[in-house]
Formats: sequence, structure tokens, C-alpha cells
Amino acid sequence: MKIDKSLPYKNLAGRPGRAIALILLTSLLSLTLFAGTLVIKSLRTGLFSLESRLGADLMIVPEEAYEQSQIENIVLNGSIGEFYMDSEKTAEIAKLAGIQEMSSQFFLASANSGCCSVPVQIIGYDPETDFSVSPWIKRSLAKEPQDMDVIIGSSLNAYVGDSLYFYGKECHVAAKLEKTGTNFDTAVFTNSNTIKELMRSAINRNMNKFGDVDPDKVVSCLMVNVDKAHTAQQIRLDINKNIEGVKAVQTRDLIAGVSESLGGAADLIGGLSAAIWILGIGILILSFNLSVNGRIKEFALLRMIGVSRKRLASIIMEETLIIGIVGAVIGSLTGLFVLVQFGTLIENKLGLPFLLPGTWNLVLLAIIAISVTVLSEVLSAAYSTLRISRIDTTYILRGGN
Amino acid sequence: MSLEAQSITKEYKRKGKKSSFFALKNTDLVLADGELTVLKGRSGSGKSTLLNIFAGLSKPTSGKILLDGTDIYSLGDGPLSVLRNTLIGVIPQEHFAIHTLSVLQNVCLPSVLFHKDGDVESRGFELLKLLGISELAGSSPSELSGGELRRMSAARALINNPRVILADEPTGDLDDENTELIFELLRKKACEGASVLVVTHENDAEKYADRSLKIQNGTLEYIPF
Repeated sequence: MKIDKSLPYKNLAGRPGRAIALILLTSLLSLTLFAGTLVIKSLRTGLFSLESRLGADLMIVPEEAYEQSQIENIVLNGSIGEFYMDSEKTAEIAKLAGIQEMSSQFFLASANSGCCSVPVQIIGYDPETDFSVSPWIKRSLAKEPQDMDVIIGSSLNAYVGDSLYFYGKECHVAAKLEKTGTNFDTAVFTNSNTIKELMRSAINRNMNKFGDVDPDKVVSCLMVNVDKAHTAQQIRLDINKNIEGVKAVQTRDLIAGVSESLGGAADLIGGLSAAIWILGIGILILSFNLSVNGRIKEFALLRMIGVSRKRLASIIMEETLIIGIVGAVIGSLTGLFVLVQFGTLIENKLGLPFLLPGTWNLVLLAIIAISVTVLSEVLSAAYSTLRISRIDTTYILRGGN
Repeated sequence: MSLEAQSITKEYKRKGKKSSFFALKNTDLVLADGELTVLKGRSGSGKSTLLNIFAGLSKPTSGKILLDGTDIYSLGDGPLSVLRNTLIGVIPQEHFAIHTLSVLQNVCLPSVLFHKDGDVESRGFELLKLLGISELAGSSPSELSGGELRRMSAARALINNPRVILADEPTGDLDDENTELIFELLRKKACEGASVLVVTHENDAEKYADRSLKIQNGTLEYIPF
């Protein structure tokens, strides 16, 4: 007959309703802490990822594209689109002081392709001059992409070695990018030769919604990094003042709105989490107190048969720890499951970049959430435990409560 | 081994009032080995207070409880708790049980909680059998009547073969047959060498006792048989 170690378990099992209620409440606290922190962290990681992917101080786009918010829609809102400006602007801008490096990009909206139920954004870049997307693409594709190679975003339903058709042209999937939590996850990247070939094919098939343009004489946007002697703001003003028909945008300004929304979302989530925690801890303290009051005769009996105050406190704390650990693990795992399963839905609903941290960070976050929850549980029970370990046993033995 | 109360006084403060009252006044009493002492008195006369002080559960306001010359209240809570577990068995006035354990587990609790050697379960079952409730061994205490709970308490108090048995109205809910059973068991334990103190209102208690005491207004007096 083993009772000594199993007494806390038996006490919990003997009152399943109370144990389940406390475990559920603890799960809610752990879920709130873990999921709330993870959502905020994922949003911040997503924003950082977006900043990294843009990877330039300035973006220069046709003036009308800026006015119609097309660039913002493509980069931030997941819209597809295409706009072009004369490639000679490249030479004009290159002559300005303060330009350290510059590379052109081409945007083309696909018609339906094998990978996707809806058109996707195709982004062409020049591997020789590019500095913004290449570092990221190189992590998935060590060599330079060949003509008619495409590198696809992580959310697209195709794999390396597959063939995709855009405007009747067969493209070879050379690599699949790692998840970024941004709209680039649904984009297709290729070199400038390939995208021009696709544009020509679109024109030949009369599918050129983008108008009558010569693919060899246009670019969609220029990515610019400024040298250390100048600020991005100086160069932006300089370009906007001196180069006609284009608009320079600081990438920091472009994502300022996202950053602001993220701050608002983080405050809201943080506030809600704090409110749930304060309420939850209050309920826990009350529950432990009520529970201890209801069991006061049991504790008096234990004192009578020789259980010391310290041992009595440890029995109550063991029960608390069991509830705390089980509840916290359930809550954190539930949070993890929900966020992994519904991360994309959350991203869509929030309209913000959302990137879950890596596995080790998730594990670390789960350990922290579990530890904080268990610690809070123990502190919530501390008062009741202290009170009960100091009960006047004789008063209870004589029928008092 | 002897357990001796020396000049025990117990003063209680009245809640919310500045006044106090004395449950015991300079009380001396020796519980000798092999002796069954019956303690009688009106309600509130200090019987249970004296019993709880002997049990190491209530520190006297002044005076000492000496166990082989050592004041048990000079010990810390840990050693005093061990002493309570190993040497003293208490049958409380009220019904006390851990309701998440079975009757047999409740009886064995003082032993298994402290990793005592031997076949505790058999001993517990034997005690239940002796007290006529062995068929309830696997039941929950919540299924027991008042009398059955009382007998379970008696079995629990005796599971560690204590040297001192302190029983506070152990026959309160019992019929004559079971009252006799309990007193015979306590008498047997005294004959085996235990010191037994029984607080009771039973008229026939004296026939099992070596001596009978009466407590009145916190003061003890001997009652000749």
C-alpha cells in the first residue's frame, strides 16, 4: 500500500471536478502567456523579416505606381500588380551623389499557373547587381539562377524540380524559399532575362494587361542603398526633386504603417493577456483558499497523526505543482498547436507579417511560459499553504472550523 | 517510559474581548505505563484541553509535559511531530478522515506516511476486524456511519502500537456492544503496557480503569471507585 508519495495524487484524483477546474484555469493562464507572447514575437519577427527582405534604403517606383499605392499593395498587402518606368531612369539616378549601390526589379502578375489557384506575383531581379533579395535567395539556392529557373515562395504548392507554366512558358523550380511570414511567401522570383521572356510571351498572347511596353526598355522599381556620407532622406529628396516621373520611397517609411499597426496589436494583445492573468490569478488565490477551507479537517487529521507543518505545506505544494505543471504544459501545447495550425489565418486576419520563431526559440518560450505559470500557481497557493500550516489543530479537533 | 504533566496551566483569550479564562490551572498528572485512566467532567471543564496538551498538539501557557524527563514542547515542530506519530495515538472527539482514501488506507495512514516497516495492511485489517468493520476496509469514509467512523478512528490511533493512547470520548456514537468493544480494546492495550487516557461520560468506564479522575474548573480530583 503506497500512500506516502501518492497522497497528493490521490487527493487530486478524489476530487476530479476541483482538479480539472484548476487545471483548466492554469491552462488558460499558460495559453494566454505563451500564445500572447508568441503572437507578439511572431509579429515582430515578421516585421524584421519584411525589413530584411526589402533590404534597401530606398525604393524608386514610377510616380503613378506610388500615387496608386501599388508598391505598398504589392509589398505589404499581398496584392499582385505590375508597373513600369523607362530603364533610362536608372542611368539618371546612378549619376546622383550618394548612391552606393542600385539594382532593378521587374514585377509581373502571372496568369494561372500549375502551382496556384490564383495568379501570383512574379519578381524579376538582376543577380549581378542585386543586393536586396539575393542574400536571402542564396540560402535556398547556392548557385545563380539560370534562365527560365524560378525560385518560389514557401507557401506555393510546388517543389524543386517541378515545372511551372507562366504565359505558356515552362519554368523550372530551382529552389523553394524559407518562410518569411510576409507576402513574399506567395511570390515567385526569377532573373531579369526570364521575366522579360515571360513579358514577351504575355505580349505575344495578347495577355499584356500591363500595356504596350518593350521589356528590354523598362524596369518596375529600383532598389537603392545610400553611402555613409548621405542619409536616405537626403537622397530621397534629391531624387524626387530632380528626376521626373519617379518617386523615391524610404523602405522605413513604407513599413512605418505596419510597424505602427504591430505596436497597436501588441499593446492590445498584451493588455488582454494582462487582464486575463490578473483575473486568473485572483480566481486561483480564491480557489486555493476555498479548497483549503473545505479540507481543514483533513489537514488537522494529518497534524494529529504526526505530519509536521513543513510536511503539510509540502503535501499542499505538491498538489499545486501537479496542477501547475499539467495545466501549464496543456496550455502551452494548445497555444503552440493553435498558432502553428492557424498562423496563416491569424496573419490574414491581422493583415501583418507573421513569422513563428525557430524551433529552439519555441521550446525556450514554452519553458518560460510553463515556468512562469507554475511559479504564479505556487505563489497563489502560498498564502493558503502558510495559513493551513499554522492552523490551530486542537480547535479543529474540538469541532471548530 | 512515563508521560507527566507538571503544573500545566492553559489560558485562552476570548475572541474580541480583552478577558481570558483558564481551561487548566496548575494541573499535575502522570500517565504511567500499563495504566488506563478515565477522565470525566462537565463540558468545557478542560478535559479535551488536557488530552490535546498530552498529545503535543496544544502548548500549555505554563508548565511542562515531560517524556522520560524531556519537555516535549521544548522540541521543534519536526521532532514533536515524529514523537506524536511514533509514541502517541489519538482518538479524536470529532470524525476525521481523508475522504480520498479508503477506510483501510485511512487506518494505515499514520504508518505508511512515515514508511514504517512490516505488513501494515495486515495489521490495519486485523484492527478493523477486531472492531467489527473489516468488511468496510475498501469503502470510502463517506459511506460510513458515525459509529463506524469512530471505530475507524480507533483503529487508526492503534496502528503504530503507540505507547500512549489518548481517547477523547471514543464511544460517543456507539451502542453498548461497541462501547464495550472499544473499552475492552483500550484495556487490552493498557495491559500490554500502554498508558491510556480516556475522556468519557460513560458511567461504566470505571470498570475498565485503573483510576478515575474528575476535572472541574481546570482542576483535577481523584474519584474513588
